[in-house]
Amino acid sequence: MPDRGLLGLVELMALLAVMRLDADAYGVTIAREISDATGKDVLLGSVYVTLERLEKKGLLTSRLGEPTSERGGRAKRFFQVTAKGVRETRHTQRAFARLTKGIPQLKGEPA
Amino acid sequence: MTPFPIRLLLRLCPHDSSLAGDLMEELGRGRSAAWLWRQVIAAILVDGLREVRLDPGRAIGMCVVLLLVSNAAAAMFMRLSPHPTALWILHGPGPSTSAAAILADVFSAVVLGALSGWLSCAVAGRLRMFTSFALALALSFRVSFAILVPFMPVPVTDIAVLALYLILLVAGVGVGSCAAFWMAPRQVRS
Repeated sequence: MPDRGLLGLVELMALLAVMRLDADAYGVTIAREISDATGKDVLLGSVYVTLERLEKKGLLTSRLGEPTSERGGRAKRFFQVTAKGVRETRHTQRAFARLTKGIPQLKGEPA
Repeated sequence: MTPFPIRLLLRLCPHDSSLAGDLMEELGRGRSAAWLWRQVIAAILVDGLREVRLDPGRAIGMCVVLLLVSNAAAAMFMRLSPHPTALWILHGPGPSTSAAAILADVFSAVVLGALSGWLSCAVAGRLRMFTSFALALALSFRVSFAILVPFMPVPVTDIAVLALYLILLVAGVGVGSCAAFWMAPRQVRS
């Protein structure tokens, strides 16, 4: 796989969510961030699959937090974007920007 | 107490402990049981697909082994038992081809399919539990349909017979599910 391969849309959303959440990025908050942005309910299992794929690619790292009683004694798994992850995100974001630039149908849409 | 869907998830996908914790957390925030079931079923399916994608060669190899074993078992079963379905196909309705006998025959085929699939997986011991489970269930359908559907002169409009047939298939799936559920920890540890 090329080092500068473009990220998929779900991968990009997951990386952006992790970046936005910073130190509080774990399954529930990442899923909620994506859900708020897209307006659709997100399956936690598929979020984890994406996060693990990104971790394998070296775009994310993870660490386990402390187990808590409200989680049935299970730890949160916190995610953090690596420098490579930031580069890939920027690369993909620029590609999107270049593609969408100057398309008349996309002008004047509310954010 | 850990809800049953989460226990099921941990049994089938024991590495998803953080996901289970997330689901518990969301449940504490008032998520419904339906939401939990949807999340758990999706997580189990996604995990199974990921497993097959990680090692497709092994999955295909196991499919071949399972098909051979289940077909051999089905052939032996047909030779050993007075097969009411076969009698019905060959000679038409008779005293030994009652609806109950045929339905029992279907049920046996389903159970046989599930057990032969499960057994061959356990003997080979090469795949993790979920793939074994999915393939065993697929085979239970494959065996029962292969034996019956191409020959059964059941009209599609005969809803009662079809419904009973489907109920028995679901019972077969239940047998496979229970076997896989209780087998899971040992297979995962190995």
